[in-house]
Amino acid sequence: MRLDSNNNNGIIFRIARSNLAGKRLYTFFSLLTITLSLTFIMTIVLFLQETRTAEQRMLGQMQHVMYMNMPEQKMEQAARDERVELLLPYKGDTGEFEHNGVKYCFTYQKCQAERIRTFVLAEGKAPERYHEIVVDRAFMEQIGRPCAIGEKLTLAAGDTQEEFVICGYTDGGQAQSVYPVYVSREYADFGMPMKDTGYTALVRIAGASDMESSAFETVVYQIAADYGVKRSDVNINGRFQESLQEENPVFQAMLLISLLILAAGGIVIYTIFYLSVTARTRQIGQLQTIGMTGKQIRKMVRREGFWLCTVSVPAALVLGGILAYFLEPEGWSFVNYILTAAVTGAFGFLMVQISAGRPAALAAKVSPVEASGMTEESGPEPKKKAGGFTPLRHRELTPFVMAQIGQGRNRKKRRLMTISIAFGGILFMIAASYLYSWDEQAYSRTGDFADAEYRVSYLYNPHMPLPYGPTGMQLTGHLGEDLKEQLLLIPHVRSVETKHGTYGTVEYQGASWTQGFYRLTENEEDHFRIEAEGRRDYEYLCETDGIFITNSEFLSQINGVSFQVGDQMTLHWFDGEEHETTLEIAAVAPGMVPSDRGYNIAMTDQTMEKLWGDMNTAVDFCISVEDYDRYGEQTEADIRALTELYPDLSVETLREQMLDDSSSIRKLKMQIYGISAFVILFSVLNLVNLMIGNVAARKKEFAVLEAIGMEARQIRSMLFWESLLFVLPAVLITLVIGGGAGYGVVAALKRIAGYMEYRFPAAAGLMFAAGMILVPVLISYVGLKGIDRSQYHQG
Amino acid sequence: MDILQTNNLTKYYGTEPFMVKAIDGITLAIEQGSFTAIVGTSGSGKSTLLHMLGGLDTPTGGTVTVDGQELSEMERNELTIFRRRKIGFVFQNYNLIPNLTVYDNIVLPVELDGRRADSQYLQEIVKALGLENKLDRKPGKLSGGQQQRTAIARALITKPAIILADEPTGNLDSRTSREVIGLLQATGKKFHQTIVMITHNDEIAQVADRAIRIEDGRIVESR
Repeated sequence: MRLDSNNNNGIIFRIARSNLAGKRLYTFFSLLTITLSLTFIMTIVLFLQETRTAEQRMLGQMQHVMYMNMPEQKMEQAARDERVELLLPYKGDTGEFEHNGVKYCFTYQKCQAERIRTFVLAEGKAPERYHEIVVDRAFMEQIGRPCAIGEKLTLAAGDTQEEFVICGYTDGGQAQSVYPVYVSREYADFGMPMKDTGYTALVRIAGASDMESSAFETVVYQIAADYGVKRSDVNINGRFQESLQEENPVFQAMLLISLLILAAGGIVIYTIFYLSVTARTRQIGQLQTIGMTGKQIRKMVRREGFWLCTVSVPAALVLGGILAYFLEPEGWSFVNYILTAAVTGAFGFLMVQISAGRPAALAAKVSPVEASGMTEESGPEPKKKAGGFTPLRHRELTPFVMAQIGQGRNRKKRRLMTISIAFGGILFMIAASYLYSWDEQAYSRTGDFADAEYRVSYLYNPHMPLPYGPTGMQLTGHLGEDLKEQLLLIPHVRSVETKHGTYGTVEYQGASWTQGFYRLTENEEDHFRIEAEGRRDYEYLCETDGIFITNSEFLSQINGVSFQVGDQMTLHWFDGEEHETTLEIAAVAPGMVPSDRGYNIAMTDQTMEKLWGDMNTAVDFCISVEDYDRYGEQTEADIRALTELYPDLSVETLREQMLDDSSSIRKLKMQIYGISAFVILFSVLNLVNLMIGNVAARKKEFAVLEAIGMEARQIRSMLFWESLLFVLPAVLITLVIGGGAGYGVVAALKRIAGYMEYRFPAAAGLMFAAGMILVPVLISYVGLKGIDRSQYHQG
Repeated sequence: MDILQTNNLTKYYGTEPFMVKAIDGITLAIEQGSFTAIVGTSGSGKSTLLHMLGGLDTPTGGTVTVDGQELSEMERNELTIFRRRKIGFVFQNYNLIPNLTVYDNIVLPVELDGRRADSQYLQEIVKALGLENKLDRKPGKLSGGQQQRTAIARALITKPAIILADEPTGNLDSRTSREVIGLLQATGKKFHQTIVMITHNDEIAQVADRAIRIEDGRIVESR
């Protein structure tokens, strides 16, 4: 046999296994750490995929586009078009009504669960006859009526009351601000509130999921043109279209987060293995002494890693799958699970092999002689003072001082431990910053409720546009000074702000559509700050009666035009008489101005006055109240009592908006809380593991200390200070870097989500710090039990 | 005057019929200021006996009295403090604290007691053990003999009632062993210490004033 060859894989396996069996506590905590790290990775990565899958599934049950005001005959033809996968007729937005203070609206659509999910019956059947309806159980509970098939219900329908028979129930499981009342086709065609409203076609485009965004858009508008649907009546599902884009920012964010999670888990696994191997340098030296080659040592350590993985990897894959399922059950996919498990498992094995191999290689390079004299805790020699060392120099060897001295031992190990703890802390602080910075009320206030809690407006359906929009309603003058004064007299109402807008029909480049105009005053800031082509200063716009177009790409898309600065646009408007004029396009901006409430075309107040004269151009009363939390409910009741007299006015409230937003907010928060809890658990268990491992590796040292007279409380105190001295930097890093990272994330999100307002998560940070400090206290009590002071001779 | 006494000391492990009698009824007395060697082969029970003399292990039966204090009456913490003040240990593996300098290792038991070492006494010990130039070094940078001398200094610093040495030359070569034994003997005389040393080496045991042989947990010879 050659001296350089070995045939001893079997013995290496057995040595590795017995090493693990011999140090049970250490093995247990190594297993625990690897399992936790991989579970963390598996859970988060799978959760991110589930989020995407849930979105895709949701989009898979939605229409791709809505074609409004499509005649029935055209719908039948379009349904047979090979470009159309599915077409469902729909009628809604026919007005809101109230019963016992609960809002509802009549809606017609076929009961369908697949491809385009409309509504799902929990009980009964879909409406067929004229007076048959399906309602939600929550609606019946709110109006105080029993949920029974055959229950008769009298509801306001337009100007009359009609009696309906409930033939079925849905069970949405949550309260809504406006409940749909599903009616039969017959009622949709002939019922008073619905007969004058056109049908909308809900359409899924064949093969859309495999199209690029631009190709999809082209097909959509081609179909619209083929079946006589105006571009302004085409409503594309924006989320679906975004999912077709190649550079999906959501996907990129998911990829980045996955990489961060992998890095966090990798660092933790590396740390635990590094500690494990460097604590056995002496043992490894002894093995070399009796003839184990460096190659065999590396193999032995890798085999230990392999054995650990055979237990921890399957456990982590199962646990991770279970946790991810509970975080987002609607996105669960067995295929995704298998793929993620394969990647995570492979990563786990690879990471452990790397983590074990590197320190093992370093240890194997140490000669047996060096290893026999070495402990991993030697630390650097103190520097000699000039003039020689004074033998009687004294320092008090309190537990704190001994802990400080202990910091000199194996700095790399301590740095790794600190980084490992801090990484989890930083992730926790980012999640906490996100949660703390999210104001639910602010979320619901984006848009219509930015400055007010109630909005009284004309009951105008923009999906069924009239040539001059709500001008006819404006001419009634219901949103006038009389009503305004009455509203101001309501107790605790702070202000009633009138929002103005005018409407007309515009013609441009062969297209024609109903358009609203935003009233631009001199002291507006947003319009004059946005980047735009052309001249948009107030004086110029007044002089030339020019218009300023914002969100131009969107307007261009829905109307099939391309706005050019300097072009003339024809406007037809009505103030009791019909008028026509041309308006210069003075400026065009691709960006949006959120404060213009979706008008997208602005004209100055002077121009508006010139054209509409002294006509009442009010479209909204925005009402704000003092102390909304305290007086909001009563104020709402008072407003509704006043507006009841005007059937053409509707009241929308912040309360209803928050109700509509509540379920999505709740779900997202639960997910973030779940992930945060897991991150904290991960950090705490990681710390426990590191500390227990640290104690377990020093049993002999503690036995010796007790043998020479160190009391248990002194050893505990020393351990506590040692832990604190490496936990405190980790906590500091967590609060500073984690806080900074949290600020960065919130600042980045604020660009797209204005309701985010950064607040430092002080309570969460303190809780984390307290946990990180308490754990060493507990471990220093528990970990010392079982120290046998007579075992000082154990190596 | 006897500084250490045991009375029918026993230590049994397990239950019948598999009971192991590590110590099976040992009664002895150690005179103050003497140097006693406890000799026995591997497995004779000498280390177990030493553990019980030092309060590191609890006997199954019998008593151990050190400087008039019966160890069985003390709780663990009391024993630790007692050990710190009254008993000095010298281990086979030296068992110095690796991160502390030689100086810190020597004064550690006194510091644990919240006191400061007597500087004159400390200087005497350091000089007697030839450690003057080693005080700023860490144990990892010392030879075996130097480490053992440090351990002896640590055992002496609290002026204990008794020093227990568990195979103090077990890890040393013969020349260094003789040197260490000589130092143990010399410092014991100089500082009026009582020394009890465990060894399996008859030759080393001969330097002691008295040798007690143990076999199968019992004293078989005492000269």
